[in-house]
Amino acid sequence: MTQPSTEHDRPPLELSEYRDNDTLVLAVSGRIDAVTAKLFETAVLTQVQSSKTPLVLDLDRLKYISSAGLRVILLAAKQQKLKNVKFALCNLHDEVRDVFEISGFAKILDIHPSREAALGV
Amino acid sequence: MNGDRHGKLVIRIPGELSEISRLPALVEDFGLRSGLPAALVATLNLVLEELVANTVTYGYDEDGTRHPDRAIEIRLSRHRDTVTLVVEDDAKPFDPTLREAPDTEAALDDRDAGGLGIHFVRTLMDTVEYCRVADRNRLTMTKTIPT
Repeated sequence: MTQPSTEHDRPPLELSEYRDNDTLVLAVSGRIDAVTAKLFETAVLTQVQSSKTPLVLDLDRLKYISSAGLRVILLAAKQQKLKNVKFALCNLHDEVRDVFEISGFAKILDIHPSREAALGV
Repeated sequence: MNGDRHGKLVIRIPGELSEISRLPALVEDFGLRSGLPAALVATLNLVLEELVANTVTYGYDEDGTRHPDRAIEIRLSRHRDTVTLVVEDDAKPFDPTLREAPDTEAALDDRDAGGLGIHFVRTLMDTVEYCRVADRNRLTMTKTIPT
């Protein structure tokens, strides 16, 4: 996969995976809107549906999220809860944080100020 | 940055979900020209996406999110300390102001994601008015620019 040379060449949504012991950290970069939500949904729900892996979504580099993205996050949260498996979010900033507050999702999701806190380190 | 306190943006987009990707750059340019704070530009971006996505997904008789023969008109303007956003389409009659708000206090098990887009529009904009005129839905919204 070629590296983009400038900011303009970056795809609108990028997902990176990291392992911390048995927890999977999915770092999200860019924007989750009605168009990019499909890619986000595939990445997250594939993970959630196929395993009992604790999952942390690191939104540090997420600049924008709309209801399309919240829908995926809600689905993932419910499915992880059914399996009694951790699902946490961290590093919500600015407008992303506002969207979680306005929707009421901030109160029902496991949200932390840092990746370390989300991992329970 | 109070240089140009009046600005206008008018665009027509086809009823295709992919058009959502084009809007932020246009709105941000309008925001720069009109001296809008970044937070307000972000609000307008979100409101616009939610409205366009809803229309494209639910507003036409044909399924899917690609309706290139249909158009959505967006008018954005600033006059003094008020920004006005008008979104107009020829989709099925739909008044978002009549929708019941989602229960944002509900627990995880009881929540669904339905109605969130409209909830954002009604929460983030100061005024939201709907009318149906000449077979078109017209949603007129305003927001006062914080000083």
